[in-house]
Amino acid sequence: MRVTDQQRNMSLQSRLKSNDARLSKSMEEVVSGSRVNRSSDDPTTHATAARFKTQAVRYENMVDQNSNLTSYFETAETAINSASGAMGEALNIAQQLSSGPQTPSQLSAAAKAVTGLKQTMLDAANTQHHGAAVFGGIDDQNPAFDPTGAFLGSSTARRVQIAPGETIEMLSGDSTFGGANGAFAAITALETALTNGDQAAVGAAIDGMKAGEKSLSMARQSVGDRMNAVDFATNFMENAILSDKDRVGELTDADIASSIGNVQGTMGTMQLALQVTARVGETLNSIFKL
Amino acid sequence: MSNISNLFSMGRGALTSQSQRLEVAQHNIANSSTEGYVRQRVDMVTLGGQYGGNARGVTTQGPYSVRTPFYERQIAHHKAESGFQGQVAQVASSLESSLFPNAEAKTAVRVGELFDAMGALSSQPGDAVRRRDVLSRAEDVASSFRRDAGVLGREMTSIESTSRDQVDALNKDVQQIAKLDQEIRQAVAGGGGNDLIDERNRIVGRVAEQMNVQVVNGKDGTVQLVTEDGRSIVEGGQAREIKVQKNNGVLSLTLSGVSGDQAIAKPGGALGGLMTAHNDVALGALNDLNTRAEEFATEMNAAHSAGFGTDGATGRNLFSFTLGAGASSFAVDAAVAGKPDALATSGTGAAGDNTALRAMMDVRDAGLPSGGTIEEGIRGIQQKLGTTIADAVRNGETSESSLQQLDAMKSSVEGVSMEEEILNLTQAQRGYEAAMKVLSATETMFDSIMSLKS
Repeated sequence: MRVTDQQRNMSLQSRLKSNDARLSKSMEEVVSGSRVNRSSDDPTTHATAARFKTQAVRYENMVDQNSNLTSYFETAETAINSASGAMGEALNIAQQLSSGPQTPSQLSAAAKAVTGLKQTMLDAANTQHHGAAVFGGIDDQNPAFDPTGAFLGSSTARRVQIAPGETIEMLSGDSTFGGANGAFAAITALETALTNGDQAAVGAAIDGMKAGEKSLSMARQSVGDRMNAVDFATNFMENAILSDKDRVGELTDADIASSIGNVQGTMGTMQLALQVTARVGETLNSIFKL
Repeated sequence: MSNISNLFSMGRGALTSQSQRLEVAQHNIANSSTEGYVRQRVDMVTLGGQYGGNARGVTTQGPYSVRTPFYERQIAHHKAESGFQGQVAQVASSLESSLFPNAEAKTAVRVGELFDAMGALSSQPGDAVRRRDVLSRAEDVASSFRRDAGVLGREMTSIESTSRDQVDALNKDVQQIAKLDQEIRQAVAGGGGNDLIDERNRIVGRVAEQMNVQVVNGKDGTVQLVTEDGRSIVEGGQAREIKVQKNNGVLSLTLSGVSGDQAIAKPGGALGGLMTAHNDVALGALNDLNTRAEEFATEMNAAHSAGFGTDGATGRNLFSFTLGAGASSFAVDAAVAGKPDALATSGTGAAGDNTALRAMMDVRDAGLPSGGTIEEGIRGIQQKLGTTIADAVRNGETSESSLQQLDAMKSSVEGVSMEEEILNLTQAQRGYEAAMKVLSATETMFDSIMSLKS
């Protein structure tokens, strides 16, 4: 086969061009630290990595929202604890005054104490979180209970997402504090009995107080369950975020050592190609001298 | 006397022949770097035939160009393929970097941010700040769709403009080929035309890069350039005009003819690449984007219009769009834009209810009619574009590699080898000197005879 000057030039150009492209790619990998810098580098890998990245960002946002939700449930739990403590004290008063002879002044003083405890419960039931009534249900822009303990909010609780496809109900105070068998009905009955100096009615109020206390206890348990659900979802997502980020790294991170090796190797090859061409030129000059 | 005369005749023939060899070698050396130049050669032929009895000297045949029509046809085909793939890769790469900067599908990210903002609002749907944030994110989604549509639209305009420029240049080349063919026909009839053919073939090479043409060589030195669907662009020294047409947003190439302009089914080459980049890549991506935008808006509107704003009103859409141009016309509906109270979050009318909001949030994971979620759909456009580029680059590399190999093989036959030409030059020089010596000896003999007679 004849070897012409044009072939030599074409061969050199072709080698320089392909090495130049390899050099650019390797240098981009070294600079960015990633071997997939655009979809066209590896469409399937890029799409998979993008899916993991999107999921991680979505989970991060949901973890933030869950943190807010946990804070909401913690506020609710504190309020229920406070109300439960007040109910406990009121129940003690009822049990002490339901038997044995009691003077009107003793009953009147007890009535004042129970009114104070009822106010504590009212404050707890009207607790706010970020300006919204914790126990107001979906109607949370106003106080959940009026001064008499009547429920003003909505018995419908708001449902919120804690993980993709996973929702949880927030709270409504109606079932916790309100209703005929609720804590406010029981403490109001006790307050009325004590104010009226009706010792028999005080005794009769004890069962209602116990039911109200049980209702609060169940509400606390329910809040705890929901917090656990939120924690569970949050833990799952936090682990998933780490796992997703790891997967993105595994898929796209460049092998820096190998990339640097490629840069050096390609540069060496380019220099050699130029040297070989220079040698061929020298040989040609010798022929001209002949 | 007749023998001495024969010696003079042979000497003259030898001098002329060697001189022609020198001339051709010099011509080859001078054109060794001329693009498309095909080396020429002369053959030394014994006068009266090699075995013709009495020696009668030497003459030459040629000069003729050492051509390889097979390689030329193969190269034309591979140039068209390489041009096609290169153009698709170039346009799609440009589109990829402008549509998805930093390798990110921004519109999909904006959609995700909208849903995240809705998630934050869902626990407190009455919160004015969060309502404003959701509307602001919705505006971001809308502007992102419009931006993507704008990028695609500008890219298509640019491709169309480039196509028209390239077709203008192609028509000039085709006209030039036709004109050269007329000159070549005359020159070949007169026994020359090699350099004209080289020049014509250089232009044919350019045309082959632009369009997939079959090159049919005529005996009179002219060429016929035929498209893949069998129509002649150049034939018998006559050229037909190529035009760029646009119908319903789709670009095509046509060839003028007696019965009007006819579409070239598969133009191939760089121009075919531009048509594919315009119609399949950019317009395809825009159509996909429009479909996704319209489906997304429709799903979101269905949930939103069933809900109530905190102002108590219902039946309003969240997004508006023009059918068929969903992405470029995508906007937050005027009834909602800038009015946080109009954002429908409640399914019942109660201000604190979030069921309408959650219905909208469910759209995130719901499959759209065209398949996949909205975010997957937008990222699908990115992946499709990436795959197109990767395929075009890979196919282009394969084609380029074949082209290089063919070029090398063609060049090994047609190209000028300096070493060979220097040797030819030396050989011809020595031959010339020897012929001079023979002439000189003959003259001496002749002079001796003349002196004898006097």
